[in-house]
Amino acid sequence: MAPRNATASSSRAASSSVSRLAKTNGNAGPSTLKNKKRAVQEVSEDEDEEFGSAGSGIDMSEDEDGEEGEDDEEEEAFPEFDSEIEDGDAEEEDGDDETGLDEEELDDEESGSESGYNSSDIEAMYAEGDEDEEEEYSPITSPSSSHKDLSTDEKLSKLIAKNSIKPDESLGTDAKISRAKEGVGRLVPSKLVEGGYKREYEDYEAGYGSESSTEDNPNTVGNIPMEWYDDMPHIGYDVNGRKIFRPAQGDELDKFLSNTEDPAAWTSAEDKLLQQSVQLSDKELDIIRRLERAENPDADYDPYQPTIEWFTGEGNERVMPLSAAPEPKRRFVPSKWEHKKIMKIVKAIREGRIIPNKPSAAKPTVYSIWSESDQANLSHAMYMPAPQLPPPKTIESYNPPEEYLLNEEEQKQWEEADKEDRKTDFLPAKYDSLRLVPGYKNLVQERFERCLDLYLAPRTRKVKLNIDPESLIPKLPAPKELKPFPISTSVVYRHPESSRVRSVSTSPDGLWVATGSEDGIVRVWDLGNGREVWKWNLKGGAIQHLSFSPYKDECLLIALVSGKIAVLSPLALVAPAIAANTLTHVNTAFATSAATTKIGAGKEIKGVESIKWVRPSESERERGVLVYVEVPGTPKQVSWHRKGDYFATVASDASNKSVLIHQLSKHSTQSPFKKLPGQVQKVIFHPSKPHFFVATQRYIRQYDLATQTLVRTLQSGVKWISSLDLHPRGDNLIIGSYDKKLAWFDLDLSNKPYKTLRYHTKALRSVVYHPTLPLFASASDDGTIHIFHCTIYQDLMQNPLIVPLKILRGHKVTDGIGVLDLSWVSGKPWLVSSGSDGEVRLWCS
Amino acid sequence: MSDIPMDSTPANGTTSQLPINLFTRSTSDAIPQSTYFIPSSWRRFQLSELINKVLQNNAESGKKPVPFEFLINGEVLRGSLENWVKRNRGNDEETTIDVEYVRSTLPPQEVGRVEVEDWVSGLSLSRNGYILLSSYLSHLQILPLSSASTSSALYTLPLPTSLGATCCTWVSPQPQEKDILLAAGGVDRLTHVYTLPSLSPDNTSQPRELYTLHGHTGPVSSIISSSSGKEIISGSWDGNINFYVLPTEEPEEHQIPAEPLSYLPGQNNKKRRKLEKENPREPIEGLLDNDSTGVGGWRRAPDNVFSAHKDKIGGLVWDKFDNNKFWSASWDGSVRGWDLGMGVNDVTRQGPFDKSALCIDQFASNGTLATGNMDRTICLWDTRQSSSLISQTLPITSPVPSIKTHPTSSFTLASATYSGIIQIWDIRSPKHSLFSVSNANRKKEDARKVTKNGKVLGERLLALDWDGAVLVAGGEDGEVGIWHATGA
Repeated sequence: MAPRNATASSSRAASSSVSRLAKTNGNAGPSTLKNKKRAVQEVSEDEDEEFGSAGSGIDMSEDEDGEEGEDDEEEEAFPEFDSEIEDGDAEEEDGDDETGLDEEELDDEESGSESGYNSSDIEAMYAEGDEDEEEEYSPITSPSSSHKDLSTDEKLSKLIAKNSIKPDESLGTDAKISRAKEGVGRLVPSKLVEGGYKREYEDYEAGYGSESSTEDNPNTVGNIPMEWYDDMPHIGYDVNGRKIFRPAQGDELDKFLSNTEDPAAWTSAEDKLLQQSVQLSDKELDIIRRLERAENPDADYDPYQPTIEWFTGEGNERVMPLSAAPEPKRRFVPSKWEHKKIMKIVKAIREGRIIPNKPSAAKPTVYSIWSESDQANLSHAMYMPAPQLPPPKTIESYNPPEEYLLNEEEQKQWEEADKEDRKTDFLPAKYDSLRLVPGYKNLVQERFERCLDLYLAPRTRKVKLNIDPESLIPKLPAPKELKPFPISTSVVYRHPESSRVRSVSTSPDGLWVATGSEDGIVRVWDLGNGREVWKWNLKGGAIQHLSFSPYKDECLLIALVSGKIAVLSPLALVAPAIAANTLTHVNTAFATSAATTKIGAGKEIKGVESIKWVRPSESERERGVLVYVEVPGTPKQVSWHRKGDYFATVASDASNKSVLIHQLSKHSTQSPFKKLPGQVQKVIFHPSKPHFFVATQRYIRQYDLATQTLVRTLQSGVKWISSLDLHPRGDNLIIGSYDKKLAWFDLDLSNKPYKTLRYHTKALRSVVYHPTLPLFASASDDGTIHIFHCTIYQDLMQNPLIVPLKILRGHKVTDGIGVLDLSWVSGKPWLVSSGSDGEVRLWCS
Repeated sequence: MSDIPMDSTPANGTTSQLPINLFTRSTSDAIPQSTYFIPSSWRRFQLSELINKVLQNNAESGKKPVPFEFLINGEVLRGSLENWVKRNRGNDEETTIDVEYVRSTLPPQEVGRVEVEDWVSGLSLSRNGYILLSSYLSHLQILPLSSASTSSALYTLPLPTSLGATCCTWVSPQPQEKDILLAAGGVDRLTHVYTLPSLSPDNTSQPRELYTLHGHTGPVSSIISSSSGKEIISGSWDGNINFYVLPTEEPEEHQIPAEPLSYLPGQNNKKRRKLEKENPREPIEGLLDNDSTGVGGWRRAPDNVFSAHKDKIGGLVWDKFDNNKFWSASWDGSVRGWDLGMGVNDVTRQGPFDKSALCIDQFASNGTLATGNMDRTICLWDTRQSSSLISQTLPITSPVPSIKTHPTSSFTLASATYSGIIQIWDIRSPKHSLFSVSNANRKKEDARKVTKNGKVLGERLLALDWDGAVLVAGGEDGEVGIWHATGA
């Protein structure tokens, strides 16, 4: 009972889900009434299962009745779905079959089973069922009177059930129920109770319609090899355990006779379980036929069902849109893309690139097959034809002339050579006729390689950016045109112990070179041949810096040692008149002031107590040491005023007295700055104006000494200024820095550098303008000196022209220090440089 | 030419023949002009034999065969003609090659070396058999050439200064054997003229300084004397050229007062003398030499001053044709000719301003001037044509402080350079020198590096002289090298 119920409910669930789907799809089919009914039915379904489990047979049967009817009703509610068509098909196909049977079958199929394929089982089952029905109907119909008498309750319930069902439906269902299920037992007189009746039920017919294994097969041995029963009298057992005896087997003759006599013998097959031949039904034969034709074995299967248009077509338009979004613009606006495409074509037509209805060019009757026909498309800019195979040559002929054939030696050579080294890929051979030519074994390989060529060979036009690198370089005059400038070393001024030469200076007349080395000796050299002609040992440690006075009528040299400024003059080397001038200039103040002429005595100037002008000893004075000025700190740089009376010194470790301006004629010293803006690196006098430049680590300040005001501050943009020089005309300034840069300032232009050059690989030590020629030079710790040409135009609007000319190499880098100081020779394009390697070199043009 | 010595050609039929034109600039060795077809494998020797044969320099005519040197496009032929053609003409064997031939000279042969205590600044060979040298030790030395390398100096004349001598010259002409005059210029701006009683070794009387020629305001760079020995011209760093006429007799008084030794003012001379009497005054280093014995000669002022040069006078040379004329070369890049009689500068050749001339000499045959320059060139100045400036430039690797032309040849000159190389040039082959003798690579391990007075020695040459047979050169190395060098 339970399994039956389960299948029924499952089938109901399936059909109800289908109906629900149909409803949601908005079919106009089902009425509201039906919907209500549907809801009731669902409730009753639930109840029904509960009751089923409680085991109330009557309720159940009645319920089932109602259910069945409802099922049918549902099926009819969707006539288009499948049932009608299937019915029609079934009727057409099985026209000769009993309609009742047909209905049964249909019903069974509808209840959701896949049993349709196993038609033999089904048939067998229903065949029995039919018999049973006939048997069962008769007792029901016959005691109908007694049946009525018996239970009013039952009658009532039956009546209710009948009236709750549509009359037309109930007819079919009633018949169906009465035939398919004999759920109602018959009343028989009880044997135990006198005059009592008992309801007797029939044997339950399992009716597993879908399961072939449990069908009405009388033999229950199961799926075993039947030869196990070969030596037995029986062939198995029936359901009740009784032996099934082997049916009588005719001998071969009988078989033959039956085969010949019976026209249907060839459509019979042997049933192994029952050991007898079974006649195959038409349906089974039809299935076999279909299988043989590789068709769907189901005769009812229609592979060409007509499309059912549920949502499209006339009458199926959806009334309500699915989304509330407004219609997109593209539905109303003509497509721009299409317009473009069309306009392109229109343009091509106008330009004549496309000729509509162009008559196709007639192919000439005779043409070269190796023509460049595949290059006809050259008007296309990026078109590139695939590489062509070379045309066949004579050597490839099957019958080449004798001279193409290889002799034995060449043949051997060919065979021994590597594949890449061979002149031809094949051995030329001669055949008498074309039909004797054997197959070419390399054909596939060659075709494959050709395909690779075509496929892998990149055929793109690579457009190179064709810029001449020369054109990117700014137009500068060639160094050759800017001659003369220093090119090579001519003279080396050799210092004895190769002591580092910190400073070098050339005399304004271009005859002498003075060098100050770390052994504390100032040397004067003959510029032309490198002869040391004079020297002073200042005995004050390393010579920090020295400089000749730019004034030509005197010969003065100032050398700086720690704590002392020495005013020197190589008196013996200069003309008596110049020597007299020099001495007069320097010594006048001694004569006028008694205090200063005293040896070791100092003159106190404006509270600068520690600064003293000291008269050297007589012997020193005869040797040309004219005055010592004792200053605080270690002066590192001296800068002359162009008239040779004033000079400024910088001692960066002397706090606020680091910049001092000295006057030779009065032996006076001033400290122009009460407070300094930073650590002063270099100072320089303006060549024509009473201006004074002070370079701190990053800034250069220009002061007006007459009005004692700051004129401008130049921002160098470098990290640490090492050197400074002013152009002799006074409008341009260069600085060198420890961070490898050289900056050129145009004082009229801006407070920022006009140009910053970074040519050196190490810190710059010195930058110098040539006093007369358009040249400047920079020296660096990388051991090189760079020579530049610089033209400064009179036109203020024209920027200075700076041309790198030459790199002078020759100084050795020792202890990371290269060239320390530079000095131009006045009037000549010659440069004197001093290096840490103890050499001073004269570079000549 | 039917008399081409075909027998001397290598018997090789495949040798190609090259057309060449042989010519020379010397009149004595000229051969008839013609195009010769010469086997390409011929070298200098065969070509030289050919010319000797054409000139009939053989035993029959009594003339000695002369070796010739061959120049093609100013390049001396070293190797076969074929090689030259391959290198320069790219196997073009049809174009005629112009080959100049010159009498070949032997390479200079070192004879000896004389060690000097300091840098050699000037050398003179104008008196046969003796070398006159000046050094930066302020010495003037006379060395006999015959035993120069073995014996010490014949005479050593100290200058009354310790700044050094820069140049020296014999003043008296060659024939004069007694009271020979010689002169030296110094960094002290003076020209010192000495008299030597005799050059013979048994001479007992000492040489002495006869005149001190004043007038310059810078160190003297060059001194020359006239062939008569009566005039001296000195050039100086101040750009002036002073002309001195030496008196015929020894004068009685100075022409000008003495230059002060000390310029220090504010000292009473009387007081000073007093002081000096009490403790004798020590000489000032640099002004007076410690061991100098010279007391100075008669102070003379210049008879004429020529000033037109704007920079140091590099060199002077007396004109070899006209005794009344001399030439000067200066650091301002100009070469000027001066007329002594008129006292004016009559020829000016201004080169580039940076072509500083360090020395000058004149070719004896044609009067062409040659200067050695700071910009590493030797320039030839044609003085006869007024238009031409620099006629030729010989490239060298370093400045040329001294140059000397061959006394007779019009093509050969010797030069010394700062890189220590002595070169002998034939100006017909301007690309490469004929011979080159290096001084620098010959340094011994134990060679001195510093002189006694603490001056560093180097390889630079500063002075050179050449009399056509002997070549002397010296400089920073503190030595005088002596070579035998003929040269044309």
